[in-house]
Amino acid sequence: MKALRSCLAAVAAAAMACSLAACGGGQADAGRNPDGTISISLAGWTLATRPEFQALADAYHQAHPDVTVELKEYSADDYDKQLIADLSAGKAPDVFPMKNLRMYYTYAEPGALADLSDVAAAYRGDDALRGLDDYTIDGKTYALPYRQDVWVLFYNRTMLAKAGVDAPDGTWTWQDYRNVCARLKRALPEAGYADAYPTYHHTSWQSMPQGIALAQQDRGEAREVFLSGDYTYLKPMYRLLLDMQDQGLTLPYNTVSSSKTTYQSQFGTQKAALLPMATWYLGPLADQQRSGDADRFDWAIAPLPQRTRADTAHPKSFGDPTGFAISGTIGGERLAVAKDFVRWAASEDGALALARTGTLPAYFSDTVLDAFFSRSGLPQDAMSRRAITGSAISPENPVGEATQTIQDELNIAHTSILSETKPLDAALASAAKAINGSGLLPGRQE
Amino acid sequence: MGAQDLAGRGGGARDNSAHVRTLRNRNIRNGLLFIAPNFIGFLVLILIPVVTLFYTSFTKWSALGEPSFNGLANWRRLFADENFKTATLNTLYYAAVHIPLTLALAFGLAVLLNAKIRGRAFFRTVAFFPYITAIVAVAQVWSMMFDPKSGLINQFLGLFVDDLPGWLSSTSWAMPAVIIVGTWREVGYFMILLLAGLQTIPAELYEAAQVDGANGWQRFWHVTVPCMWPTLFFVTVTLTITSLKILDLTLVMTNGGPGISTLVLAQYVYRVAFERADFGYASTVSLMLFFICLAVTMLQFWINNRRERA
Repeated sequence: MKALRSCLAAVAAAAMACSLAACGGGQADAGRNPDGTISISLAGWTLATRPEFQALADAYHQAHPDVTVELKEYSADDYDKQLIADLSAGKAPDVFPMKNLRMYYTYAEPGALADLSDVAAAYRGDDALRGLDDYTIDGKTYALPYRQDVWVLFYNRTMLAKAGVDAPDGTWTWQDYRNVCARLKRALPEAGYADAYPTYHHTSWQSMPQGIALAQQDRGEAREVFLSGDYTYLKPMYRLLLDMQDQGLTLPYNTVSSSKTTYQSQFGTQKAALLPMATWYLGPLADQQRSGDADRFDWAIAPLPQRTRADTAHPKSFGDPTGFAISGTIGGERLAVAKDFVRWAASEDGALALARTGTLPAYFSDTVLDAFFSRSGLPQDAMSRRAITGSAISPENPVGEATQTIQDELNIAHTSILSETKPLDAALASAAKAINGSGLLPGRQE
Repeated sequence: MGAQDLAGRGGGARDNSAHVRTLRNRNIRNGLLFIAPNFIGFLVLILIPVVTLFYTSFTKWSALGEPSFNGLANWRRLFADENFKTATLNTLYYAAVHIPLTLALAFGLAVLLNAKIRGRAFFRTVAFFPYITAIVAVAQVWSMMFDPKSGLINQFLGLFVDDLPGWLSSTSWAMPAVIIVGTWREVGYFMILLLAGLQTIPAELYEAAQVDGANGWQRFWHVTVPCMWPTLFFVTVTLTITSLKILDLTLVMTNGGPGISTLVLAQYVYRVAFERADFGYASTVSLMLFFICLAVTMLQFWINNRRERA
């Protein structure tokens, strides 16, 4: 029995040691070194192909030689899962990106993020910084945007010209877009593009069309409509997509999902003349044309088509900001330095460092946009620039407790509708029923 | 027993009991050390999490911070949850077709490959291959074969029928497609188990039956099946549990779609936990899966016990 007791004692001691070590991981609040330097850690993903994290770390170190920003790599696909595991084990980096708004509430609500309202206050009233308001929960801010992508319409100028179709001029409604596609369908084979579709809808993502429909609906502010429990505002866009895939104007959803089609392969190799997509494709498309991974053709971007002609004067688009948050477990000097890094990354200085890597920053000043468009291979026309600066940007995932549940249910509806396995009305009705039944919508908690 | 033998040989009767005690303690210590690697793993990775699950199913928890107790809210939500109902029905549908189909095919193959035929070892290996092939590769290749237009399967079926199934892009055909792949993958594994059972049946029983004038069919039903009962029972229980827990195949082949026509319980747990970070409610759903597995297995044991007593 004594042996048994000593064995159990040893196991218990080992378990305690492990848990203490785990708790200790995040508390390493060493402050500054004796020589006055300090290093903070920053999470990133696919560091080998995404220069933005290293660029920010280097630029900040250059401006603040006493601070070193060390990168910690995460998987791009499982970023949130890995970060949640690290946060709950107390081993998260000091600063980490909120990849989109979908998980933001999950992090902020249980106190895993430091309150950055004081840092955010410095930017109130600065219209150049986009997406800041999307991070507000009950009047507090827990992350600051540093990147802001926006959905636009990519078009292949070469294909349109050969087909004798006018390029988008920023006044298109979705009906115009559909009509142009119908004309392209007839003209493209004669222009030498026998296998090409007029447009490509990347329906593997529910953003196409749900993000567009939310941004362009006329019922009210995006967050309120999204959290209202009524999703009938999605109907017109789905009707359009269904009609277009039935008419053969775009690759149908079933093919897109079963063959795991990429938008790069469709637009980049001229299998589609038009492509609604976010600005994160600008840099890679220019790079791929240079490296030969994409065909060489003349292209540009325009604002997304709109619901009505009147809306085209002030086009509405969408995109979640990407922001930096700080671990709620750090304090003292380390917290102060981390806050300064986050403030800097959102500023014009941080934006300039980011823009040079081909990433669209959240700070849309003229200087920043000049730097962004100065990369070789990007379109230089006024319309392309207007597509970015002139679009009002709604969040794709307005922040709330129910955000992930709503998106998950709407994704189920999305696959049912576009695979034409369930009628539009029925699919949206059952999503709404599940969302309302979850008890997570504001004012409906049990 | 070993301790006493050794102690007996060890020496005088006076310190005999002390010896016995020391040796018994040493045996216990060694025994514990031997099971420790497995037991500690089981304790830390399975037992403690499972026990914790009972508590988290009554809480709201995002994996960050502490779980907050919310009484029966998760359970009330569960019984009103359409996705949960569909996922349960889909899981039962998969199990109800997959279990008998796999069992019948595996048993048939085992009997066939137990006979003295040429190339027996080769065919046994071939039947086992799908089980050791990577699931992602399997799912990818089958998805291509199930393609409604250009897939091999529909091109072949097109020779005979006009109205071809949509397979993975149809809500009514996606589950049969998943079942076909599931059966194809697992039949070889269960065949090996049944084959091992078949080889324990004494040849004399068949000879005696033959002398008594039993034909092949009668020998199968009155010799093979009764002798195989313990193996068949084991295989059925294992097959039932793996069928109810099915996740990898639907995750890679259909991701639960189209819509939620192939969403199974295990995948619903995964979605709620890791995609919605709603670990409290995910615990509730996984407890229900646990209870379903438990109930079905207990029913099987009850039937087996009754049969053995009869």
